[in-house]
Amino acid sequence: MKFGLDHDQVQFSGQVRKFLAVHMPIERVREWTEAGIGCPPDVWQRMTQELGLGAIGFPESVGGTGDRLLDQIVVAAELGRALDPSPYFPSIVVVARTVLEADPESDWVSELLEGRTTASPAMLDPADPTMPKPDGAWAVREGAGWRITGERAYVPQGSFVDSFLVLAGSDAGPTLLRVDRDAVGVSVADLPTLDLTRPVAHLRLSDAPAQVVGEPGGGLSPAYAALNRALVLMAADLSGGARAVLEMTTAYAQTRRQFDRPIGSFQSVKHMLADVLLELEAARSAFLYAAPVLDGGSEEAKVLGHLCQAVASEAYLRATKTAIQVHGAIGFTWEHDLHLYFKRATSGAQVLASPQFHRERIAAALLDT
Amino acid sequence: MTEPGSTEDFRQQVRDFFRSNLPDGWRGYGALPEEERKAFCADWREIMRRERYLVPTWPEEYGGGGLGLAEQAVIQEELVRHGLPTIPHPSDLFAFVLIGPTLLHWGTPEQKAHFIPKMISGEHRWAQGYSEPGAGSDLFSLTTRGVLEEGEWVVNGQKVWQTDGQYANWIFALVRTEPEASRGNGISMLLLPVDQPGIEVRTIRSMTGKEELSEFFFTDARTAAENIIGPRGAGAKVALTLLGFERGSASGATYAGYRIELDRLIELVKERGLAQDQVVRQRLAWCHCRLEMLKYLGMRTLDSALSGEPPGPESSITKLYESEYHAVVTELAMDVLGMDGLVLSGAPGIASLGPDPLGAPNSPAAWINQFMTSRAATIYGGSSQIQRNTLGEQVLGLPREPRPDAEKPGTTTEKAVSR
Repeated sequence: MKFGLDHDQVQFSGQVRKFLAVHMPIERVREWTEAGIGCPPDVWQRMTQELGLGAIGFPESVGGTGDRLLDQIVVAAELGRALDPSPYFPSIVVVARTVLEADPESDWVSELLEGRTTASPAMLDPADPTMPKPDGAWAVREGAGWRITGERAYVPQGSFVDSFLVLAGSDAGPTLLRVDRDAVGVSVADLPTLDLTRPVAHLRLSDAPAQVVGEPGGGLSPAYAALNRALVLMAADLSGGARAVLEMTTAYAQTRRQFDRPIGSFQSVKHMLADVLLELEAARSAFLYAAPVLDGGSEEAKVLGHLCQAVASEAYLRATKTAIQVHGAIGFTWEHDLHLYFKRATSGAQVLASPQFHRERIAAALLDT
Repeated sequence: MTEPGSTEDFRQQVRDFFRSNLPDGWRGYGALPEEERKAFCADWREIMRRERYLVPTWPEEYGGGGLGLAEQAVIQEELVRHGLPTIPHPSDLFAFVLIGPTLLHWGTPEQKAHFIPKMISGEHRWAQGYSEPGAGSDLFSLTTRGVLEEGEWVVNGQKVWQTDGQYANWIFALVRTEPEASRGNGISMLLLPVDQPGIEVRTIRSMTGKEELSEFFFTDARTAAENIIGPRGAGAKVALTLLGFERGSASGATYAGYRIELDRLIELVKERGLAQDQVVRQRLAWCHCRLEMLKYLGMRTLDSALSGEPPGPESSITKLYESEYHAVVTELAMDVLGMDGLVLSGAPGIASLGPDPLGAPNSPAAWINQFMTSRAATIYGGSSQIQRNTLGEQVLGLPREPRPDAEKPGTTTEKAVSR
């Protein structure tokens, strides 16, 4: 087994980085997110249509480049590095994949991949927002369509997407439904988030019209299949950010002088950065290993998403906390970029459930069998 | 590079060979009583030697297997999985992993022809002579000195921390032979026979209670002039060459060994009724994540070695990662044992370097031994702090810690320290 990225993937990774440096530089990300406008639609159009980011790692049958998670990992890692505020994660990683799993014939998938429309998963119950569950929202059939009533917490990019993929309870069981943001009975409340690059909203549905996606009652399995991949892709996103932070902090430690020497020559500083490197490389190894295993769909794949997410989120948190400490006071300012990474690391460690949650899943696989 | 398919064929071949040479009901050498274990390891060494699996990558002309890195990785991993020793005699570690590869790289044809077959036959049993009482992490400040007199090196000084040094009849030692050169430039790698009046070996009892370490005193110890590896003064470079070739080949075996250990711990957790303890579950899952990542790091290292890529950061990372992991997992075992971890009950542990092999007892005594030996792993072979320096300086490119004497070029402070 060849481990890691192949030549084409390395090259594509460079292309994505260049593209994002032009169209999504950190100064723009700051402007957009501070203004609360998210990623401008024309930028998302370029990303999906000019660069074709959405299609990467999806099957050819839906207009993708081939069903390979490692290809998509390349994209996720570069987007994480760029502090991506676009709908990529909710719209492509979660919704498009879930819909593909639930209904491979749905046109919605290719529309999402091509950036012609955007969507966000609304799957978390406000009462227990650890993992997707049908609780807290209920769907009923009405004629040819459906109606939903209920609440969904922490809907990513909720204010900026065209529609939602809601996981709701129904007489048939947990069901996936599409709800348009502009439909009657839909109210979206933007929330002031710690991490401006991952805006979330609270969604209230009051007898809102909906269309079923896939089989009624068959909502959980596609959601979980997509989620396992999402965990690995999120790990790549987090590692991409951690890498940027480590590079930035290493450069600072090489040039910042105190006591007549670069601070990076002090072992107290050097060892902190060495530990960041250690954790980052280990986390990177994890998702590079996991990607082909998930494609293969073996038994081992079931815990790998949990493993990747647990280790990558802790690696990113360590990287950003170390970075702030090494930068000293300047790292605590709004003006410096570090807080953007720190906040993204913090949100990244919770947005698909916490490291403790994932370790518990791993413990269950080790001990409860 | 070997095709993956053929590696799998080779793996089957190795497994078949092992099974045809093992008794029925084999449960791993960890399950053998101590008296039988030594005899088994000696016999197994001979079986491996005859099949030329003992040192798979060494050239056939010297008795090696003439195989590639991929095959060596397979053999070592299968050994561990079958509960068979990768290092059948304690001194083999220093021959097969350290001085052998160094000799093959730096040695003259005569040196190779003389020493390599004797490493394989077991006639020569090697000890490593690097550390000194005053030179640990700062290895190149060593002061054991060698002078060439009438066709012989005459060596005076002291080396210390030889693991199982009492079994050795040869020692490879870093010795200061060029006193006028600065630090690392004045050192040579010498090979000395141990059985001579000029060398005294004393054992050192470690915290485990075993006489597992030793120290070597050199008083006009002698060795032939030709028993130097590489040029005079190149010893530091020779010692650092150990790196490259074997890179990653032991990683599968290393992982397999720690996996056997963690599975043993999982059994212990269940036996002791702690499987539903939330803290234990979190800590165990954490260990599982670390261990699996050790496997992935190893696969990356081996993969890049097989592709002929230069060593990446992963090879420098593994030592630090592995030794720190082992300290944590053995601490968890002690917490799982609780008060029972205060009494050396049950069958004793086996390994002093790394985890106990397949079949080893899941007893308090064995875990206590591992808990103690894991303290050493973050020190020997370059302490965790030295590893972090290496990562910081050689991978991240951070500046070195300035030396007080290095700021004044041309001073002789360093040499004074060396003497």
